[in-house]
Amino acid sequence: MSRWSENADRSGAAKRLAASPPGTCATVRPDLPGLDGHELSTGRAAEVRAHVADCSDCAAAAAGHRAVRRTLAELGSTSVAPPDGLLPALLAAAAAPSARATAAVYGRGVVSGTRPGVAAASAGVGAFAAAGLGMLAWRALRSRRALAAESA
Amino acid sequence: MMDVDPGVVRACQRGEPGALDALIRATYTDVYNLALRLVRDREEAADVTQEVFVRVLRSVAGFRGESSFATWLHRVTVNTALTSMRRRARRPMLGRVPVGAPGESGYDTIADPDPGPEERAERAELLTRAQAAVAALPESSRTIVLLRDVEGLSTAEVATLTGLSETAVKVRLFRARERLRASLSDDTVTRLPRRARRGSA
Repeated sequence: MSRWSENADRSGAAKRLAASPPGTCATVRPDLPGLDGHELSTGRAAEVRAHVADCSDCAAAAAGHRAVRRTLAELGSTSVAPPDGLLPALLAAAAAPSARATAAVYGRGVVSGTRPGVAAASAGVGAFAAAGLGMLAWRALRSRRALAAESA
Repeated sequence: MMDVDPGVVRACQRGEPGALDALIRATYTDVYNLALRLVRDREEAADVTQEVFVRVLRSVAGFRGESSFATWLHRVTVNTALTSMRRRARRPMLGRVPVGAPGESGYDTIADPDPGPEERAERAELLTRAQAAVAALPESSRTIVLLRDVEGLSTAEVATLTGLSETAVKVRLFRARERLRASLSDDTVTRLPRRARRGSA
């Protein structure tokens, strides 16, 4: 097909499209619910809108979908009061030491050094614990040696 | 939906006294309501809320702010609620009255603070009907409608959260919306509060 006839064909198709309502009710209906929700491609949305502009049945269906969507969106802004015991339970859970320790970032500065106070305190506690463990081990070793000497 | 002051989140991350309490007080009603819309059972929604805050306490220190805290909290809540629903699907639900069942009253506080009494009554009735219509959907479609049309997530996000393909989400959405329109459209179109009609015009 020559370039001229291709162009002629395209312009003929465009004229036919402009002359008749785009799509049929059957092909347009499945896309009506998504028309206002940015669910269709720009081209498809334009086709569906063009059909809706010419077809009173589909226009009524589109209006119905729009109204339902608006109502559903409004449903999302409604609210019921939570049960009375819920807030105290949540606050109690948050007050538990383990929860606080997890939520706060105290641990982070220990390694990175960005919280020198916490790092120094942790180092102190660590050194104290290590000294305690060393002392226990030394005592155990000493008593074992004493027992060995007695039995010899 | 949720409005969270970033300063409160940063205070929680610094371990400031009272910050966690402030965060919980500011968000727990929204978390509970989102959970309730999904699981439709007050007791289960309270359990989900507690689980959400356990996760929050565990993760808030590491929250890096790539999305807003509200978005992150929303996602944690949806995930926790969906997990709870999947757990529940594996066991019978005895003696529980689902929210939205006949006789179970609707929501008691509504966003717009000062509509007239007639408008308020119309809207409350419409929302109760909408709630009942959504509750009457099969659970798989209901979850999708809630996430997409009530909570405003994108189709792709809904697909990720539910583990379905985007095409499957779109098909279920279409069927559910058709069903909702059939049960609500007459009243919705003709009896929408005047202010909403003006707003959409």
